[in-house]
Amino acid sequence: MPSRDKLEFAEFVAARSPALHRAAYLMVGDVGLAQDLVQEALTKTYVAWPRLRDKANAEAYTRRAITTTAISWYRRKRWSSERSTETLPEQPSPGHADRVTDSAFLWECLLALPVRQRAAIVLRYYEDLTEAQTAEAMGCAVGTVKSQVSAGISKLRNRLGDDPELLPLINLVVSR
Amino acid sequence: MTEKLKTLLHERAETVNFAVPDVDALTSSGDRRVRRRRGFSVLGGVAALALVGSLASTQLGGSGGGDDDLVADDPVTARVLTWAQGSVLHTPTTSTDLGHRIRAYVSTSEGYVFTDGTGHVYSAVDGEVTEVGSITSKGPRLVADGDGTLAAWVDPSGGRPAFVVVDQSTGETQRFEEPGATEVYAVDGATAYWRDDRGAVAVDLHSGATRVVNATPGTGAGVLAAEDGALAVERGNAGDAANDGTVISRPDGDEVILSDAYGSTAVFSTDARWVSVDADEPQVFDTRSGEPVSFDLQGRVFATGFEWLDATTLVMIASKNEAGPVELLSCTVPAGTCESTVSDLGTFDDFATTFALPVGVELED
Repeated sequence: MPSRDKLEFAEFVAARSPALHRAAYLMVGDVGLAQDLVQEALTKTYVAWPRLRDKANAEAYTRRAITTTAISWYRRKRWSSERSTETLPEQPSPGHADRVTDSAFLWECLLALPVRQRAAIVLRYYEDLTEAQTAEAMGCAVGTVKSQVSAGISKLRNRLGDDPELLPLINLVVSR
Repeated sequence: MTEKLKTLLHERAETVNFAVPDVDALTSSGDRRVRRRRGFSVLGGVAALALVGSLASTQLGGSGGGDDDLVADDPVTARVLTWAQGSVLHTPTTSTDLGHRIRAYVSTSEGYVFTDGTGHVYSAVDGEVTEVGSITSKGPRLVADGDGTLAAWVDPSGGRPAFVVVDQSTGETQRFEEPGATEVYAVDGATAYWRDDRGAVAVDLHSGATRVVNATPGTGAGVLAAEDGALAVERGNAGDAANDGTVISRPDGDEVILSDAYGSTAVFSTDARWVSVDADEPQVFDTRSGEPVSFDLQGRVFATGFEWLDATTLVMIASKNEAGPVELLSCTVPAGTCESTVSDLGTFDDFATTFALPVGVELED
């Protein structure tokens, strides 16, 4: 069994954990849960370290672990208060039209999406991954990524309106 | 067009700060997980030595074995609980010196196949130990059918890696030089399961007929266990952190998906009615229905099955707490009752380099 180079792993953790934490936070919307998620993903990465032939791919491995673990945790309802709901937050009143651009409201709507849709959006629009890379990170087919992103954006658009500067048009969710 | 969405995401992400994770805690947790996933850290320590000392240690083929001498006149025709320390193979009632260090081993109906950790593979049958091949010294893996006579491994020597199969009933070995030979998963009767350039394949060792079980290249989903035509296959790819459980297929039934069984190894009962998947707690399922079996562990914090002695008796390695002592349990399925067969074999942290269980791999990382 190849050895686990703890120094090399420690360097990876120090260099990449801030970015990994941020992405995890966007997926779960909670600092504590994000820390738990990253800790679990890094532990998996450490276990798999000897099998990671190209250590440059370690971040991709960890990102995948974060995503699949988050989805798995939600699926098992391990977290006591699952946010995802089919009912998004109430639309702001007309007197609060400006709130459409209020990042707090968009954030609230984002967190109300099912975890797979939220993860797909985070990976595509925060991590700036291609559909293929997103599919790899989520452990699913590219077609699933397309449908998850499309469904998520549609739900957000229903609540936020058709501001093309705010959200991508569904039919313009380009494939890369 | 997505600038505001992207901006929101980046702004949100920048609002929070996270401490750098405790690397020592991560690696300690990972090391514990590796030990458990490998099955089965180990036994060792003074208590085990005391146990061994209390047993009659006999040289292979020697005269001191008496009625219960393990590897003497009577080949092993029934599965018995075994473990190894150093060069000595133990049962609850016997100890037999095989003359070479036993770093990883498997059992067949005829005897044992083991590696010494320096690249040599030996076959022990009826009082004779014979060198039968080569294997990697780093993370060797042996597989066998406990009901049959065949064992297999990957031989890295020569021009390119090859699969080697030994028939302990004849002592003959066969070599299969398949392109991309990387990993051997299991042997079931005359069928071997391994991974080569075609993916995970099933090979009839008599006819040479091949069936692709999983065409995913590289480290795609592997075969965890095979018995009487039943297969346990990873669902997803554990190596890529996308293991979605385990799929059980039986020749006489529909597939059963065990979505919560994430183990990296598994073992079927001798009739394939039950399957045990490795985890930090017993994960045993009815292969017809997928229903889990509950066990009364009497407060033990860790237990996982690693070998079936028959259709209903599963051997588990267990511990009452992190510090040990390590025990071997004999558990009855589906009743879920367990009794300690070998107790106080040292602590998990004693782990080590000297112990082996019949799982085909080294117990240390």
